[in-house]
Amino acid sequence: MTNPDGAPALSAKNICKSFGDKKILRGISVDVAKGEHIAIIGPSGSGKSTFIRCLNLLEMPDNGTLRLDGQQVLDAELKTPTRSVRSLRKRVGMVFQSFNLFSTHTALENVSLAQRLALGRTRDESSTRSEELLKRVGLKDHMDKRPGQLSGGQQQRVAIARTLAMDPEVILFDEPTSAIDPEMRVEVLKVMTELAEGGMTMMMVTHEIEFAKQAADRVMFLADGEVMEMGPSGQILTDPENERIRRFVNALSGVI
Amino acid sequence: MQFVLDTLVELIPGLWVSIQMAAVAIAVGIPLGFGAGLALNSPSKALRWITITLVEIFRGFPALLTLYLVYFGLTNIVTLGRFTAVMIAFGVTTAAYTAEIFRASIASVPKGQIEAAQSVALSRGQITSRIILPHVLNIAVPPIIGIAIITFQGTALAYAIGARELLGTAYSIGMIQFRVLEPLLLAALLYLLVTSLMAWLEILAERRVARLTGTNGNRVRARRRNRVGRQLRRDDRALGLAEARITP
Ligand SMILES: Nc1ncnc2c1ncn2[C@@H]1O[C@H](COP(=O)(O)OP(=O)(O)O)[C@@H](O)[C@H]1O
Ligand SMILES: [Mg+2]
Repeated sequence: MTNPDGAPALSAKNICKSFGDKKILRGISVDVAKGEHIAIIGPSGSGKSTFIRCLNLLEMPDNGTLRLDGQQVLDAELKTPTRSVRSLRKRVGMVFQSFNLFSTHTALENVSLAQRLALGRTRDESSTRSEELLKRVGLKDHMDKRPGQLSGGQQQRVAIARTLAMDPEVILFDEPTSAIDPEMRVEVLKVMTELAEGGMTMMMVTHEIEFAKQAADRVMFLADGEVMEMGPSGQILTDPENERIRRFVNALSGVI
Repeated sequence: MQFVLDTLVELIPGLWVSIQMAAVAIAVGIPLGFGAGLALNSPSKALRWITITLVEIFRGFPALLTLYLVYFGLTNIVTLGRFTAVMIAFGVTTAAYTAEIFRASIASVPKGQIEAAQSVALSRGQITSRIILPHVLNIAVPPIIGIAIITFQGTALAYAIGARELLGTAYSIGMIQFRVLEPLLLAALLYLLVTSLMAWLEILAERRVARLTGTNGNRVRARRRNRVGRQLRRDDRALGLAEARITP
């Protein structure tokens, strides 16, 4: 996509969200440049999932604005007709911690379904594209299997293919490897690394420190619904100044 | 022996009417029941309450009462044929009985799958038809067949409005020939034949669900025990029906 004025791929300003009277997000802002990869880390319950769910409106923020490629998709009055919620979601992909594949559909159908229903591609077009994507994530021999017949790592790769099939401008990942057996994680991380190298714009909640060091350009550290620190991944993940972040990163590295 | 054979031949059209009545009642009842199941899962409290009320009304009314209301009660507004009245009354009754099954199976669709469908920009209608419906069809088929068996047996009630279904046919043969036992026993045999066939389908469907959902054998065996319980309850109902019929 052309980007004459150099607008960020995704720009979120002052995203706020409460559940009941509990403030979960206290005004988070971020500009994600085209092709940039941002890792989001932070303690459990700090609002990481809620934040990225706000970015494709699976949660409706209480306040804030969203721009995609310079174009306003959520204004300060939170006005987004349903039509534009769907058009936003076509442009912003989401990969979930628990894969969330459609259990009654085969891997191929999982990847094809929204191409036909949301993008209006023909059955042939969508199948060809799905086969190509499933091959790319290493699942050539599993296309006709249902999610229940696949390992966690395989399911997550189908889920990534399902998202890629929409040709999104940005992909959001919510702890894509935490629900997968350690020995299967590497195959998912490999696919994500390839995507990053291919120039995909990505925001990923992840606690895979080594992967983040290598794949992320910047790291956002969230604590209590606020950005505690945001900076180059090399600095934050290897030599954080903030004591709390240092302890957090050390703990994660120790685990791995 | 000749009498038995003749009677059997005469009962076949009655059986056919019963099967048709059950088929239309099920064809009306299942989509209505699915709609009610969706409404019962709706975020709108008003819609949920309206639906609960309707479901409880038609589950609470004896099916015969609903049939009388439709057939005799509406004469001021419209005159319905017997078959149409049966279709409406038993369709609504079947819908009320299936609503809870659909409500539970719709509620059991994993929330994450619906969110995933939203995240790839599917509309609400598409999510209902492409994600929720296949899931529901997979798991709800066995209990729905159970309800269909009850609906089929329930068609005997149509005798009360003079329909020539299986029981009505058997009874009138008995009255004409002054031999009631054989026609009734033969009708019973035919009812049993159809319900056994349906129960067999129910078992096949249960196995399919077990295979699809990876449910283990214990659950299936537990369900089978439930089915025996259901069959007993069904038999109770059938006895109730017979009593209702003897004093028209
Ligand atoms: N739908 C919800 N309703 C109420 N509370 C929620 C909901 N979703 C998340 N929360 C709460 O918001 C807080 C942040 O959750 P989450 O964004 O999942 O954190 P993280 O992903 O960083 O672990 C948690 O305390 C969680 O209990
Ligand atoms: Mg989370």
